[in-house]
Amino acid sequence: MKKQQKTKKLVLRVLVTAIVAMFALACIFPFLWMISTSFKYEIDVMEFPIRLIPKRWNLKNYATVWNNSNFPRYYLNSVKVTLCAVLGELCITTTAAYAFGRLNFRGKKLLYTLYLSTMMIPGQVLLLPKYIYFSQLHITNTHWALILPSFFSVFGVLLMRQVFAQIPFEYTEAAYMDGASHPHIFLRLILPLAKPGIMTLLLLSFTWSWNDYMNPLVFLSNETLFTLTVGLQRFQEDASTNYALIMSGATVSLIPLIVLFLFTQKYFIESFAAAGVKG
Amino acid sequence: MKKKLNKEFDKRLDKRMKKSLNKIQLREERAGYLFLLPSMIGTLIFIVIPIVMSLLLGFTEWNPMKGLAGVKWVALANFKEVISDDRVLAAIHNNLVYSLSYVPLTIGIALILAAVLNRFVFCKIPLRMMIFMPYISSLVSVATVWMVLLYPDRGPVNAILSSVFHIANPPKWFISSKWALVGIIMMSVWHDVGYYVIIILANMQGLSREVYESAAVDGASAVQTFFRITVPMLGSTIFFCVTLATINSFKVFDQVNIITEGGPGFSTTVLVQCIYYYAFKEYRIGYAAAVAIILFLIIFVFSSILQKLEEKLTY
Repeated sequence: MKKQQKTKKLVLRVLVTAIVAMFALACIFPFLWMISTSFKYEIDVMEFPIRLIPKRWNLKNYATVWNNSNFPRYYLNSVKVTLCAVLGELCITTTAAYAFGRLNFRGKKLLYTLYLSTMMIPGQVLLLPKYIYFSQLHITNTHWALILPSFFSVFGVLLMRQVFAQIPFEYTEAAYMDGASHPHIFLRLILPLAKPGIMTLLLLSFTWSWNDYMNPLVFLSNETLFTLTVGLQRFQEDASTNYALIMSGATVSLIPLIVLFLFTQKYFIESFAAAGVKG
Repeated sequence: MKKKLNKEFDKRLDKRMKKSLNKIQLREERAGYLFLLPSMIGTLIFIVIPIVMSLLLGFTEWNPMKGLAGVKWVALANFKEVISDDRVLAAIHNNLVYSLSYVPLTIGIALILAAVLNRFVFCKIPLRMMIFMPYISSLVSVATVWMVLLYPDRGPVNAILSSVFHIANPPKWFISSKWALVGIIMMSVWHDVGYYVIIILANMQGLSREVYESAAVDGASAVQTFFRITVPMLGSTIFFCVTLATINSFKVFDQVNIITEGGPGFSTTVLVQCIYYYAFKEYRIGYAAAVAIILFLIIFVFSSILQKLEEKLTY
């Protein structure tokens, strides 16, 4: 009786696994198709039945993407913007979070509530005033328009505050009584203890900054400044119906994040699960 | 005599302690402001002032080509125009259709997947990874891929539909005003479902095993367990996901702008796309700001309703 139940359960589990595996395959099918198409000749793209392994391999698409388009430029821009944005965000959000999470001062509650309430406003609402500002400051059509605002991520402050507040106060009290300064405690004690939390912020803001489409679309008009997202759109418009070429472009633009994800998927998934809200 | 001396000593010690405590407090306060200062200045400039500005802008008319001098106060004229603006009305309609189908689909599928992944499946980690992968990919890149996948003439999806499932007239997807929004919803669900799977999964792991074991002893079926135990115990997580998905669904823009730019006609236009269109194609910043205020109000109303509903249902 018991054995029968056990085999029944095993069969059920195998069956469910198969169904979920099919669903998961459907989830990554667009990626597989994209990569396979990027190696095809244009006339083979729409062939049926669908072949995931090309009949004839065509490596020219990638050569075209890399040599005859602005992709290398887009890459450099994306790397530059993302690195600056993430580093600046780390510095500014962690210091603010230290004040909110570890220090007492008058007006803290009020300021914190103010920070929290700005999370209610959708980012797109801020786009128009920011546009006006930046044109007055003459930083539209520069990378500063993308980098500067991302330093002041309210979401980052809230996330890091929570991380810092969870570190037991006994850890810092002794150093404090010995007369260590706050910058010292922040740099030497809190930051090293908060490494997993910092990793979370790093991965999240890297992903969001790398994938950002609306800000470059609005603030950049000079093609040599384009990041990968707007660059890919321009590339796709230029290539019009050359789908194999477009898929090579899409692959090239996706590869860095996908590779990073494949190698650090555990941290990635934990980070996104822990963060919950996107600002 | 000795006692008195002791008391005196205590008093002095107390005073000194207090003084140094005060000093510590003062130092802490100063450090607090200093640590917060950079973020506070930036938040003020890039977030707080823009919020106020965009509230005011909604009541003005302004073409940025004319410079700051061209700002004109028009009171409620923008909002009056919105009521009869076909583009905005279509956008509100599409936003509602999008949200009301995207949110239940995404959360429903995510809930089932998470429940199954949590208890019934082998190779949980690679499967979870595959389901999550679309979420980290940029919408621009995957929207480009979907555009070709759903290409109406010879695209792979329609080729499968017509030759495997023998559907005579497969949908024209992104070039048909009837199917374009459906295609966008499908793509968005595909892109986001993995995110909600991992949030729900993370919270499921906190549920106690004993409840499930005793349910199994009592002979509850898997479906019963799901509806009677998993869903009620995850109440607040589900509400969190629904709220998050609803708020994000009203902000949909990237995939729409890449795939259809709101077309054909107004069949896929959404509010954020309207804001973008009026501000940067027609240079009507004031009118676009009015649309942005409407977007904010809609999000605000929906999240308040959800919050009220949660208070009613979970307590």
